[in-house]
Amino acid sequence: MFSSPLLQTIATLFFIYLLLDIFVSSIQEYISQRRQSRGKLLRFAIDELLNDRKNKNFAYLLYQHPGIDLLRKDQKDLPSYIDPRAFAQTLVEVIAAEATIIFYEQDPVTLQMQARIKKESNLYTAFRAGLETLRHSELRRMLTDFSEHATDREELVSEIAAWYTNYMDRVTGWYKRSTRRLLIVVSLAVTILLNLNFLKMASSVYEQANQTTAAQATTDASTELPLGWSFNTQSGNERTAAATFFSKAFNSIRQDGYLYTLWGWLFSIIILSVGAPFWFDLLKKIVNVRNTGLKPSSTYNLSYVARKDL
Amino acid sequence: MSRGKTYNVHTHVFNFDCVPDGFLSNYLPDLVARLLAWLIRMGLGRPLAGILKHFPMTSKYINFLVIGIHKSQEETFDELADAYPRDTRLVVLPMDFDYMGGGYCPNNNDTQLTLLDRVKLHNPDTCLPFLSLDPRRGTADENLEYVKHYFSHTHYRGYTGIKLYPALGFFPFDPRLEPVYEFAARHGIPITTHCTRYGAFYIGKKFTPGMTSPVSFNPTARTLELYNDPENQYRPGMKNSKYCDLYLHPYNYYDVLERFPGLKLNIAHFGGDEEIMQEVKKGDKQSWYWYIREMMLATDAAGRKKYPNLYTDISFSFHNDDIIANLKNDLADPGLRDRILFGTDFFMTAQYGDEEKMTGHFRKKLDDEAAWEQMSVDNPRSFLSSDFYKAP
Repeated sequence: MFSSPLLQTIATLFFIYLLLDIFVSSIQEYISQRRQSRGKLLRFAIDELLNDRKNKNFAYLLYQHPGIDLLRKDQKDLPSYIDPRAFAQTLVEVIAAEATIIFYEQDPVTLQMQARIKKESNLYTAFRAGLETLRHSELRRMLTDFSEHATDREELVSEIAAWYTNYMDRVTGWYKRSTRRLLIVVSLAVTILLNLNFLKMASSVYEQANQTTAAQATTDASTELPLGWSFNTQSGNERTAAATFFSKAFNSIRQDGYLYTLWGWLFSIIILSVGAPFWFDLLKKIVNVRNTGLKPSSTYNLSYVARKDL
Repeated sequence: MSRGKTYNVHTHVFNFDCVPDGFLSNYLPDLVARLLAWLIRMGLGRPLAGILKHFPMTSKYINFLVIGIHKSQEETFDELADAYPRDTRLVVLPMDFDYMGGGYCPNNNDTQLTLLDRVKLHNPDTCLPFLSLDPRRGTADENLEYVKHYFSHTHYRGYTGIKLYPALGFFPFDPRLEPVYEFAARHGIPITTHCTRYGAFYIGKKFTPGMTSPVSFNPTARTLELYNDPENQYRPGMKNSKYCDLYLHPYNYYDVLERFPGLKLNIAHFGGDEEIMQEVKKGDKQSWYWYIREMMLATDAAGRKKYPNLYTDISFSFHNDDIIANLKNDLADPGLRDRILFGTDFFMTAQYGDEEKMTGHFRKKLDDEAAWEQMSVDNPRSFLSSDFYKAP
């Protein structure tokens, strides 16, 4: 394909590591999904935003609200995405509920309790009244600013949605960092499990490319890649399988050289973990491994960017 | 035929979201408790419960943990209600953990009450919530305003009484509570206060000076004697649990009841099962159980009950056969009979068994339907009725 053995080596390594990166990303994605990483981080981020210690944990109340609660698959599930508009709408209702008075009257004869609910009919007015019931806090100050900039419910929802969207930009950064940590761990595990020595791989591929080019396919060049653990020594020992494996693996590393192996692994880990977001984008074009449904379309372009990696 | 509705005057439905990270330190070594709290908050409570149930030491706590970790207040209330005949009235006691010194707590007291409001809304007749109050919440006036917000004639919020939990770091004779007692006494609002050495206590790293210098709004000879005893004064290095016992001492209520003799006060747990058993075995009249008894039986010069609205409940200890046997004697005493209340302390008791079975066992062992109706129907009705709520 390539006349230059170097180019051929680069291309081969590129495709080998592309496949491995897809494999690593899939594992990372699977773990994230099992651990509900997206949902948990979103929950944490909203808690940071709305858990007002001087008043109430509005994040908790927001998640209890049907507007958000219905996004859950089941009780254990946390939504991975919350649309900015849904968030804003729900938050307005949660704060407005603070102005709602639920009171009880008892029937003098049957002594049964009757609940009565007194609330503002206009959501915008109710939101402002709800804010009035709160003690002074950062959250109250911020929400009051929004309500003062808005003249009606629609504007208020838009203000809050835009604020949420900007905040989600930061949350995206948090998620990327947490993803990177997990990727490094998975890359490390895959590298060791497959004995993925970049240096050994590169030299082996180069050697094969060289042979192929020189002989112009006149010989049956071996196409075996140095992946996995190859044990040359026979251990006729009666020790357990695990002990035998570790002993053989150790011997193999010793034969290759400790530093050589360590550097080779390190390069592999760096390539697998640093390149993962890029491969993930590529992977998305092939198959949607996320299994969390397609991202909802939104008129909020900014939020769309913000949610991209969430 | 029953004389009215049946009541359980002592239950809890708060969950792990309402308690601080350090809450489990009350029961486990601090490091283990915080690790456990972290695992639970990370959503690993379910697998953890699955592991712990295989160990004899921890298996009995599983039901307790499962309720606390996995259920909302509403679900817990529904589970509780299912254990009783339909229409049974259940007094739900929230707890204000905001000043417990236990670190991060997802849901503060106000959030806990908001969630409890929903339980009340869906069960207006059967859920009888009390209002959790810690005097450190604010000044005396602010505390009174807080109570008035819930007990208002124009907008009565459905709360039936007030819950105090002094072990979390305050003396019941705290001057910041005086107007609240006055308001409660004037309107017949019942107050339930925790009184057993078992349970949650203040777990902050250190006590603030105000917490270890008892200042009473009405010091009486009993409390002066108690707090002048060097044994009862705070010393650095003293265990929190030991000092917190002082917050709970029944004698503290002399200061309150001498000022407000008509106050409806339930000194819960009858002092606690260990104290009851100590009295049963030793009979030395030095137990909290005995002190509560003394207060309930106290009479004035004219031979009338000195504190006619002083109650106690048998929650948490109601599953113990020896205690039930002793209780039968107390229920036979005319001075006590009309002021002993039935309560279970659900879901704290989940570690001992199923609520329905334990209640059934209690009735069977009590073997006295008249006494049962007295403590689960008549006495609660008197205790819970106020200017705001008439107990059916």
